[in-house]
Amino acid sequence: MKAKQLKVKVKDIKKVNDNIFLLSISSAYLASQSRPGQFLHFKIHSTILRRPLSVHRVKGKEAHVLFKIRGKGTEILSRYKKGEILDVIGPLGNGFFLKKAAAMETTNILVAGGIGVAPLMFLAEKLRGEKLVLLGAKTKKEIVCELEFRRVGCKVSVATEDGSKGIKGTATELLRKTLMGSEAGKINIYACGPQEMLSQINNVIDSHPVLECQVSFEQFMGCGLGVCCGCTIETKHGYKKVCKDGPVFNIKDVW
Amino acid sequence: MKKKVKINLKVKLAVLTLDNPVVCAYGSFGFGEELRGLVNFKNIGAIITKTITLLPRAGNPPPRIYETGCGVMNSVGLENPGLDGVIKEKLPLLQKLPTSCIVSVGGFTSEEYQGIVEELEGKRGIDGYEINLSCPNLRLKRMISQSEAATYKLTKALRKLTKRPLFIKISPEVTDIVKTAYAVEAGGADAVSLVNTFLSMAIDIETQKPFLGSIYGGYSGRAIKPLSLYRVWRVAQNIKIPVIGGGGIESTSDAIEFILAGAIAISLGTVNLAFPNQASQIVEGIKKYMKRENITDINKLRGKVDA
Repeated sequence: MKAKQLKVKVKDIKKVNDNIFLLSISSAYLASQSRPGQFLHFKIHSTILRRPLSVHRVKGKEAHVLFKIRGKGTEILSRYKKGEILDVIGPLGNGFFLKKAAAMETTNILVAGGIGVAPLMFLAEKLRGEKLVLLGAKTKKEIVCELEFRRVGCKVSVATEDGSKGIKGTATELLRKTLMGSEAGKINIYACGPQEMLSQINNVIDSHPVLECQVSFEQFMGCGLGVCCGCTIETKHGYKKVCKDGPVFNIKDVW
Repeated sequence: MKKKVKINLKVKLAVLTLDNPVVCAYGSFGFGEELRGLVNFKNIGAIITKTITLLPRAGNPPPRIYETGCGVMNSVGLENPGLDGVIKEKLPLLQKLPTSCIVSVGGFTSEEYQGIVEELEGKRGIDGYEINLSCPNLRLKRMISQSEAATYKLTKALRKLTKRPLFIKISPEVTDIVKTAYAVEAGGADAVSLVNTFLSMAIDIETQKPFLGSIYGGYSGRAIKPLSLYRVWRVAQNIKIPVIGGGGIESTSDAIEFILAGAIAISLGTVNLAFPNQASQIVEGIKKYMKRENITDINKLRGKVDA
């Protein structure tokens, strides 16, 4: 999986809700080389730095990216039209580590906070064994991909902060409840969301031991290639680069 | 048959001849090897490494990089593996790159700078030193290049240690940058490199906290180009040693502006983060411009601004 700088065509761009968009780009290379948890580094016009967006899923010769408008870059990206060209470097980052022998007695729990759902769809497609997806967002409107997860064989539970769908609360609370009723040490967790959520997940799993917990981080990023040291996060082993050492980390290497 | 015009892009910096005048600035290109596969190294005049310090440095607390409307702020703080780590892990790969390699040297004391240069004098594959007297992210009361006396003294001390090309990178955060450049020249350096980043800050009004983990940082990118161009022009007019000019260069036309303003070589920084192969693109662009203008030698273009 060598990263390449490519010019790719926007195959389609769809508004999923108020500020979440699904972008499809045509690239046989990116579609065949990307692994779950890796990201693509997009040069969006009128910006200076690239914007890192994780691969949401791949279909044939297309790579999909699910993104939320967060600032100027993603706002401009949302206005790209079908047929326009994007300059992209990818695939980048280490992605989720997928165990080869997925023992049937283990359960995979995927925890998504808000737009953190983006890389977990691709992961859900590749994971074997039992899969439970916990989706958390502020309101019902921001819960996305529920049906798609069910289609790839996942059970889905939902939490919203305002209680407009599922339980009233967060994805982390769903996780706590799920772990309480399960056998310790037979669960793999994969999570993506705000850093605060990931840190809460760490607290939850301290009282409910799990096999492994992998978490995907986001950070303001420069080059995406490990040269500028701009996108570091603080871990118990010192500063680590999200672009090169991550974006996926074992949670116990962080806290 | 079409007559082939030979274009000379070679420029001389003391004993070092660069194949072309486009160099990649410290901090924007790592140690080069990280970018293998994305960069045409043969087409780059020189790369300047990440600044190395005597001891390993973890760097500043995150977030360290933030894009504003028209520029980029960073507070990386010279994260690097330290002199021994660089010699062991980075230097062997650096030596293999098919371009000139300038090592950027940083530090907190004069002794530290001298210690690093002394140690590197025994190593092969280094084409010169760029002494970084202007990193804005070290939380010093003032950067060395903010004192003309200290700049002169350190330059002179380093000059005694090496016959290799010696460049000094200075900060624009001074009252009169020409005076800093005089100090560099008087100290015996082969070239002065400018500008380093401008001090800057941005605040998130939602959290009411600064965006950067260490509150402020260095500002670079397209916003600073007119500021750095002016400073390069002023310095080039006033000193005899060559000027390596940069600050916000993104395109061929930006690069040519700096050459017209008097820079012998031009350095790319922030643009490399988005387009790692931009140096190579700009070299091709400069060739095209020269053909169009009927100039066969890049050295005839330097300082030609009609001002």
